Amino acid sequence: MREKLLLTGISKQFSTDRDLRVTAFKDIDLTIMDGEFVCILGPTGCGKTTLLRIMAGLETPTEGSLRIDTVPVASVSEACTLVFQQYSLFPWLSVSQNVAFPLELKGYTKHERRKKARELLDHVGLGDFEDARPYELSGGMQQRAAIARALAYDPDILLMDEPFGALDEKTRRQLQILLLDIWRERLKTVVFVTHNIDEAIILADRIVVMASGPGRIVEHIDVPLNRPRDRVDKSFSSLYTRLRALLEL
Amino acid sequence: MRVLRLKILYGLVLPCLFLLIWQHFAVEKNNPALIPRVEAVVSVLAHGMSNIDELGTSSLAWNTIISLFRVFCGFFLAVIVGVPLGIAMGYSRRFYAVVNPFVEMFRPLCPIAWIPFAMAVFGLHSVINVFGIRYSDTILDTVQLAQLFIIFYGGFFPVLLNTVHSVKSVKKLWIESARSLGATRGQILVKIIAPASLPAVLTGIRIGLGVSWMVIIAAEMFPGPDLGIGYVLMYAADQGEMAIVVACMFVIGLIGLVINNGLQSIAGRISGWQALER
Repeated sequence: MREKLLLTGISKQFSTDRDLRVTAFKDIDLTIMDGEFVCILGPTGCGKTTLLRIMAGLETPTEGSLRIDTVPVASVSEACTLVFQQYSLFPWLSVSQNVAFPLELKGYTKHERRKKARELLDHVGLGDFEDARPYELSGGMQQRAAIARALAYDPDILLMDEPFGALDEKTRRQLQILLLDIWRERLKTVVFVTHNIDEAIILADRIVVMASGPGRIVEHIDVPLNRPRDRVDKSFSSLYTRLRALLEL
Repeated sequence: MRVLRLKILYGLVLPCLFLLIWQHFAVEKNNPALIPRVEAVVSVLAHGMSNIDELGTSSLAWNTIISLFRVFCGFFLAVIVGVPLGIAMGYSRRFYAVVNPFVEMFRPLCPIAWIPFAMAVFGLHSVINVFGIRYSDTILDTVQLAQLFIIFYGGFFPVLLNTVHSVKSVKKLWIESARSLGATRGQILVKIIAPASLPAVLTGIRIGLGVSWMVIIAAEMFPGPDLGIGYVLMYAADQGEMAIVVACMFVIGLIGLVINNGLQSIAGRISGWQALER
C-alpha cells in the first residue's frame, strides 16, 4: 500500500475579535494509506472537524503541509471531496440535479448527467426520488443523496464530517452499511470524523483517537475485526472499553 | 377556489368600513372642496376614459398609462444598476468597504430633495432629446430625464440593499459544498449565489418598484409635459377639485396594490423552495 494523504506538522490557530489566538491543535502528523478507511474519533472541541476541513482544502493550516499522492496541496483538490454533517443539498435543485451538480461543473451533457445521476441514486437506494426536492426528503435520504453527489465527483478520497450525526440509530446503521459497500466496491480512501465509538469500530480499518485542550492525536488503533462486524462480539466490546478509557468517558 | 374567495372577502371588510365613515363625514361637512362625497369620486373614476373637462387635460386612463411608463423606465434603470452593483458589494468585502459608506450617505435623502438639483442638471429635457431628436410624437416625449432620475432614486436603494443582503446571506455551507465539488469562483457565482439569492433579490425588486411608483408624485412636479397622474393630482388640488385629487390617490393606491401582489405571486412561483424549505 502506498501513502495517499500525508499531513506533516499541521497546526491551526484561530484569531478571535479581541486579538486572542486560540490553538485548535498543534503539530499533527498523520499518514493515510491508499484505500484505507480511517475514523478520526474525538470529543467535541478537539479540532477533528477543522483537521478534516484542512484535508478538504476549505481551511488553511497555520503551519505544516498537506500532500496528496506526494504532491503538496494548498487549496481544494480534485482528489477529495467533503460530505458535511449538515444537510448540504441545494434546495433550488431537484435531487437528481443535485447529484449531477459536479458533472454539470465538468461540462457533461444533460443526457449524460441524467443517466449518471440515475445510476448513483439507484446505488444509494433513492431511485424513486430523482425529481423530488431536497426538503421533501428525510434526513437519512438527504445524506444518501449527498453521498451520491460526492460519488458523482468521483474523488479518490471521501472526507466525511459526522455525516450520520443527526440521524436516528436505525437509519445511521443502514447508512453505515451502505458506506462500507461503496468503499469496498469503489476502492475509495475514506476519512470519517465521528465522536461515536460504536460507529468508529463498525467502520474503520484504523481509529485515530484525538484529545482536546489543545487538540492532539493520542493513539492510533488498528481494528483487527473481520467485516461484517458484530456488535456483540467479545473483541468488539473490549475495543469499545479501551476507546472509552482513551476518551476518558 | 373557496379559500381564495374568502380571502378576497376578508380583504374587502376594512375598505367598505372606510368608505362608510368617509361618506358619513362628507355628508356631514357638506363641503366638496374639503371632503368630496364617494359618488363624486366614483363619477370621476367612471369617466376615466374621457378627458377631464374640469382641467382641460386628457383622460385619467391616459395619464395613468404615462405615469406607469415613466415608472417602468426609471425602475428598469434601478434594477440594471442596483442588482449587479449589489452582487459585487455582497460578493467582495473590499468592494463593499469602498462603496457602502458612499451609498449610505445618499440613502437618507428623500427623492423630493433632489428636485432642484435634478432640474439644474437635466433641465426639462425628455428622453428623446438625448438621441438628438427634438420631438418624436411618441410616448417618449413625455418622459423627462429628471423624472427618470427621481424614480430611479426611489427604487434603487431597496433593490441594492436587498441584493447585497441576499448575496451576503447565502449559506456558507452551500458555497463550501460547491467548492469541495470542484466549483470555480465564477461557477459559484452563477450556480450557487445567483439561484440562492434570487428570492431576496425579487423581494427587493417588489419593494423597490413600490417606492418608484410612490415617488411618481415627486417626479411629476417638474414643469413640462403637464401629463401623468401625479401631475393631475397636484393640478387638481390647485383648482380645488378634491374629487379628482381623491380619485387619483385611489388609482395610485390600487395600482400599487396590484403591482405588489402580482410580483409577490411571480416571486412565489419562481422561488417556491425558499418558503417550503423552512
